[in-house]
Amino acid sequence: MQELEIKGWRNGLLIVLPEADNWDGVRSSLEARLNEAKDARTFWRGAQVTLDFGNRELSLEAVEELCSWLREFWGLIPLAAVAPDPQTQAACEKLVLKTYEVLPTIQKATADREASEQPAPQMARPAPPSSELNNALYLFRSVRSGQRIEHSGNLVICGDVSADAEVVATGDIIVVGKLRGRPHAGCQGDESAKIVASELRAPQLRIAGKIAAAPHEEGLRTEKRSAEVARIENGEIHVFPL
Amino acid sequence: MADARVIVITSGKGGVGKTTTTANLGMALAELGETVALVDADIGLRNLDLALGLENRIVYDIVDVVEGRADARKALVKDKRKSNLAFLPAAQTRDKSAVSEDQMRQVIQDIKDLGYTMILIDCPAGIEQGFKNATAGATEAIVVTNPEMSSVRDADRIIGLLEAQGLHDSMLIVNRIRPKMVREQEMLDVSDVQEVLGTSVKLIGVVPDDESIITSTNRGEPASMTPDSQAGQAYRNIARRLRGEEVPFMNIMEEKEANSGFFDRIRKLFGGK
Repeated sequence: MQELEIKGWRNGLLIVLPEADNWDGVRSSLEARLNEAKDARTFWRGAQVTLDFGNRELSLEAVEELCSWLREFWGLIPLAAVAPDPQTQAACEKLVLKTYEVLPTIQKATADREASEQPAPQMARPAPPSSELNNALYLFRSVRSGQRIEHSGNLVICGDVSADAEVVATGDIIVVGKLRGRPHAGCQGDESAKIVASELRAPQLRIAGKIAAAPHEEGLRTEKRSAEVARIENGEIHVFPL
Repeated sequence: MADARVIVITSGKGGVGKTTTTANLGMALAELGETVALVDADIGLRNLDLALGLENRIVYDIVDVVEGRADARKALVKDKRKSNLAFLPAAQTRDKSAVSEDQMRQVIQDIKDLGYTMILIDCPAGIEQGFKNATAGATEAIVVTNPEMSSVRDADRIIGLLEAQGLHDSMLIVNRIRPKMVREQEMLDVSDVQEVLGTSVKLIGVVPDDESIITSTNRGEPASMTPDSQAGQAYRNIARRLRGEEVPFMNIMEEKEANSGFFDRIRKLFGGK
């Protein structure tokens, strides 16, 4: 039987909701727990949250209400949910939360952590290739200047990534939109990671331990470009038409 | 009674025209028959009173309301020209920490209870407490930007922060467009600004850079009161769009082209067109 818990995991915060109480009770105990933080109203702002609903069956309205409360009142960013119950899962998917049947295992988390502890990304034992991670985060929104999205796995953004926004993934980064921010693919050393964008206009590209600056000067106006992919070839980042 | 609309006017960067926009939209909306309350949330650096020409009428301010020395009805300064326009001044002798987000929400609720239909909040520059306060009670947001990169970048950041506060679908005003510079490709065009900020942001107005704004701010008469001011016309159009009317965007580029050249003026002098 799970108890109310708020803890960190590899994708930000994990809020484990207790299965025992009724839903209102869960809500009020979560509110009390969130309020325990110093400067509670601002403390949580901007943190990405995974919600563990346990086996609870919830309506779309209940999940939507919880998410908008977390978002609007606390400034938390609900991203994913553990929801084995089919109805809850369907509700989460409707709200564009990434859903898990069970929380991705600790093993993988430790493997990621080991990888991140490797001093130089070019070390002999690279992190697993991105295709094996098979854990993509889909974002159906734009990432604005000053925002930072980090994900362990592949990162797919259907929207623009503004200048001075950061998108970081251990695997590939795919932007269906304009990429003007700073991408870092294969951030734990995977040199096979790729950066793909419909319009690749990042001033700087990072893949694993390599950095490349954009060759062309950005003028006041820019012509529309076709999709491109950046990947490491012969030890350097190159950009090719997709 | 329909719930009042509470719109925060913000930008991130300072000096792009938030206060001017607030004053002008307030006046134009009042002209259209709305009961309008303007709230100056820029505590410690108040300016909205000057833009409205109401600086001498201030008795109480927002901090007095928050701290209970006056209620909202008492503190709201009625405009001398338009009886359906009122404004709640910021305190000049205090700073942003004098009001909390919850207190701000309460002040807005108090103003709503007085029967105002439109409440515009003039947000301070920056992304700190003052921004959070100003946006706390709002349900809609207008982002003002100038057609230059640093201002657009800050607008982009602000739109992200507004989304984090639950204020989606921000509206956009591009202020201080200079047609001549845009034509010579020395200034960003409206479409360039939109291209950076994306289509999720709805453009509700383009305001030309107009000298009448400076004189009107100094006189305390918003340009939207002056019939022949181009910027004033732009603000009047925005006010109508805010109320859901479809108003075509005026073609700033062409109008200027037709009248502004030296030779055009000479020709006019001699009776030409």
